[in-house]
Amino acid sequence: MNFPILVIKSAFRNRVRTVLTSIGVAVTIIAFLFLRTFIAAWYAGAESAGADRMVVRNKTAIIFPLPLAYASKVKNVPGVSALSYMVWFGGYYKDPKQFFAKFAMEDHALELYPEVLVPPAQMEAFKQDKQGAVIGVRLAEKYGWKIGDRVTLTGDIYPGEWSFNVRALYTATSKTFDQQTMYFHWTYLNDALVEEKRDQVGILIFKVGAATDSAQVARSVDQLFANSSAETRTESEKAFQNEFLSMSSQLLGAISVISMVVLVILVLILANTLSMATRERTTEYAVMRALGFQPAHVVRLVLGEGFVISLVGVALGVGLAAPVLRFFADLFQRELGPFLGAFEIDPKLVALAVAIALACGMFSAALPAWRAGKLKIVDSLRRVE
Amino acid sequence: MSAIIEVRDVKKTYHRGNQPIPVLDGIQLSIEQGAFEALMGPSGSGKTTLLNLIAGIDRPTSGQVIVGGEDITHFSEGDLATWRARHVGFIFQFYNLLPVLTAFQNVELPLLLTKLGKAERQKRVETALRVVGLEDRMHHYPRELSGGQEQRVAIARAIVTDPTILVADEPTGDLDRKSAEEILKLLSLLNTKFNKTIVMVTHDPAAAQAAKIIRRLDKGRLAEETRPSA
Ligand SMILES: Nc1ncnc2c1ncn2[C@@H]1O[C@H](COP(=O)(O)OP(=O)(O)OP(=O)(O)O)[C@@H](O)[C@H]1O
Ligand SMILES: [Mg+2]
Repeated sequence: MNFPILVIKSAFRNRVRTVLTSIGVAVTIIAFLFLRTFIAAWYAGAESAGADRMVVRNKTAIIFPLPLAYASKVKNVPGVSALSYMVWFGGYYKDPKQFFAKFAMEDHALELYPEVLVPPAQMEAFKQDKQGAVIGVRLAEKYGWKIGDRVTLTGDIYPGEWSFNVRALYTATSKTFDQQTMYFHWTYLNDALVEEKRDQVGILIFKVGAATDSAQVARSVDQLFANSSAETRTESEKAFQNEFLSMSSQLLGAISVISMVVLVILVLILANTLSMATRERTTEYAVMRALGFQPAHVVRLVLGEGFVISLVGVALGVGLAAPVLRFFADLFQRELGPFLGAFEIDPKLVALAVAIALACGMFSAALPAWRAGKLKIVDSLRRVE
Repeated sequence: MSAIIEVRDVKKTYHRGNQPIPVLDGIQLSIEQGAFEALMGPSGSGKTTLLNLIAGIDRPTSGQVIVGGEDITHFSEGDLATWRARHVGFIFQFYNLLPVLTAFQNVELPLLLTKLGKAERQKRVETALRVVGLEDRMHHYPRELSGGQEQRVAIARAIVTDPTILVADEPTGDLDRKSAEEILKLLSLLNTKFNKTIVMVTHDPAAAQAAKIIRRLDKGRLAEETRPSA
């Protein structure tokens, strides 16, 4: 036997309690990892935005459209290279609760996204078919759609039944680019609309050259339409997404606070167990002290127990976190796909959680350890009698 | 033979609120190397208090306690602990074995404070367990042992470091007559065969018969010593 073995044996004194505490630690670790990963995934959606892409939208609000005529005007602004546009379609497939994003796009829009890969032959087939659609591989997997399948959407912003032929599947090299989106021809949508709804787009997307001052370009674009009935707001795609996401900043703030509260709960669980465990063992510590163990030995014994219990909990928590988060990742990808980036645990976050949990273990053990270290031997021995 | 334990004019006063409670009131005591002494007296007379002072787990209010030539009265907390590890073997009324450790590990526990290697520790533990007649129970946990067996493991733990003195506070207080006799026989053996100096507190006159000298404590003062056989 040696001191570490004594620590471990002491930590497993009351097996049920130790196991329950470890489960408690594990649950808080999973909750912490989950919440932090959720926040990270949310921001990753914004991080993934291409730095050289700019987005033009209606200054009043994103839900208001822009006239198609703006496209050709923006194209002529110095510094603007490739330009395209798309509009949010809304609508749903069969079940309104089953959400995925649908955009009516100008045929070349995806070419602005080098991270999106479409086999050239499929892209060609899409362009040939007026009712063609390009869909993400994950979306295809989810509904079992294959090339050539016919998909009918129910519109809400654009009422009616809209039928499409799946002509192309895209994958994305960037994990944060949503792979559950459906793109189809803007012209197909536009041609079906009544006169006064036609020739409108949701956003214009353009690229600026690497050496170009994108802020200057944005100002030039917005100047073009100043004092018109549809003023514009031009910004980098990243800024645009950040703003879009900032709607949820309060929610994220709350989640962030909860993730901290979870850590407080972690400390409370451990502190409770350790103070109970040490209080009922006062006599044993007094005996050890009588046998010649130093106060520092007893302190180390209690701290060690805190460490062991939190270590078991952490191991359990980290081990279970991956499958639990994968479950939620799938769920979220289905429900929130377009808003979230990759829902994957960052190893750095795991390291942080491990460090925090072990620190919490030691922190929770600090007070009981201090108490055990300074106990008076004779008083503690007397207590049993 | 020289005195291995010397208690010089020791007073111990507790306080309950502002009220001083004198427990030991000027104790003079000299115990020879190789002695086996029983400390008797009514409940509350200060037996445990005196034993604790001799064993270095408590400090007198005034006076000196000298053990093995060392005045331990003014030792620091840490030095006292080191001193106890080296010089004192404890035997308690309720055995006080660590329930998470086997008999072997309980006996080994005080050796963790020494520089002895694993093999040497094992040899010593086995020897101590053989002396108390429990070598066949070394892998049992305290809950798997009878009270008498637990106390024998505790005695093995007390002697494994080969301490200068053994202190026992009511070592038979929680045992039936037969087990108590075995424990007392064991203590006598340690005293006669291994020449251990033993100070034992007891209520039980029969137990006190095992000792060579009986001292009585009353109201914080020591009365004349007697010899059981005399
Ligand atoms: N920490 C303390 N504070 C106040 N009084 C104490 C304290 N410890 C012991 N006493 C008192 O000191 C007196 C002597 O106690 P001690 O335990 O030495 O007696 P004892 O002779 O061993 O008695 P017993 O035979 O019942 O074990 C008792 O009156 C006890 O109440
Ligand atoms: Mg007593």
